[in-house]
Amino acid sequence: MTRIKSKFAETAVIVALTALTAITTILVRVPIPATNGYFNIGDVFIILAGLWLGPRAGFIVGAFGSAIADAVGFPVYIPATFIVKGFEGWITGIIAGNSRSGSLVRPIIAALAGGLSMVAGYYLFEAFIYPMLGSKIPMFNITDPGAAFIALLPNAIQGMSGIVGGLALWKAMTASSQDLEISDDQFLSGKHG
Amino acid sequence: MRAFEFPAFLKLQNLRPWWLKMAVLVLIGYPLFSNRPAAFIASAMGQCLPETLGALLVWPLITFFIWACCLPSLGTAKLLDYLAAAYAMAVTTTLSGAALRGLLPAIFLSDPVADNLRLMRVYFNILAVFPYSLTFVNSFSVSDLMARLTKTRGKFRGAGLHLALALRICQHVGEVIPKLLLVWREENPELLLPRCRDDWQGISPLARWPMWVVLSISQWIFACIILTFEPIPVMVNEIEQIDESGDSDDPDKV
Repeated sequence: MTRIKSKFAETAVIVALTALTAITTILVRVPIPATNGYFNIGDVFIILAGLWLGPRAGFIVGAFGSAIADAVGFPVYIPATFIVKGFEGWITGIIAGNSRSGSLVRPIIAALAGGLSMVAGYYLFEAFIYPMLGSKIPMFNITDPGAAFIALLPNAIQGMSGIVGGLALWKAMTASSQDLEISDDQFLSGKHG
Repeated sequence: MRAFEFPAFLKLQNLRPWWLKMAVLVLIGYPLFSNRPAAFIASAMGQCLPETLGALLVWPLITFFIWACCLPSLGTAKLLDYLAAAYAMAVTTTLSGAALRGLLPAIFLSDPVADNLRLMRVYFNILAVFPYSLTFVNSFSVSDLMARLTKTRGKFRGAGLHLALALRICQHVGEVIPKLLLVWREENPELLLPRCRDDWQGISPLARWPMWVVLSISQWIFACIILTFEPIPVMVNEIEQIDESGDSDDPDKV
């Protein structure tokens, strides 16, 4: 996890990652009609945020970036997405902790936990919570346990692509600041020679 | 040739005060966030047209409405730039949806007409959302906000500076997307013909398509990150200078 001393640099990076999450979620989206949901690659940036900047940034990027994307075309999924994707970023950041020791084991476990939590979280919402809410509020009556089971496969592919992509990006990001022989804080704030 | 200039009163960025501008922008984008306008138009058209045709026409109509609202603010050249990127994304998304329907039929509905309408809706949704969201973000001036903040003191100043920085980054991210098409063309001059690549001679033709898709997406993401993060240090420095100048002007500060 990178500790950014400048409050403005931290805001800038979190906003950039949130915007990138929303954009990649909106623009690379494959519809899954069984659950009225869709496959996307936004998880790459959520995992990256959790690994790179920690649980708080991971939560903000996951919850807000993905919820903004859901507002376009799939608004009924906003509550589920806010919780599931926010938790994905948060748990990734929590497990990754301060993983600057060079070992890849902890970041891999963190990314796996993030990806798995996303698959499990959506299954929970699609199989149980939304059908339960749907019996009282018709708007949520869009999915059932059978459809949620079918969506496990695309969600798992989405989770895997997020894990692989997020880890690759995190490695590239941390390597680039190390190649320049500057701290991550200097790298982000641009205050280096 | 001189570009056509729209009258100033048609440009959304000139609307004042800011809350009126926000209200007008939300009103324009309402058909994108709610199904009610689409359902209303479809039912109105259903009285004089066959039901499927009405459902087919409603999304192009909404998309044209959004484009018409965005055109005066963006100008022709910029709108076409945004539409080029939006078309690339919309075609990629709907083609991948159609390909997935062939590969994994279990996750699709049994009604092919409903499936096709859904894919078409996603297609037009992307075409409308892309220019709309950029018009929305670019309608608010960061320099105006920063000029106002330089004269402001008190607890809202810090929050305002963070807001200005966030808005500037969102505007910048919007400008990055159309540039990705150029990056795509430079990296993939063959565009949709990965089977013709000279450096992939030893690879099975069946494996070339998924390879091309994975490589293209990874290139796209890397380009997106590089172009997005490149100017952030400059933006942060600018905001920090305003913040520091405010601190030094503070009469209570020793």
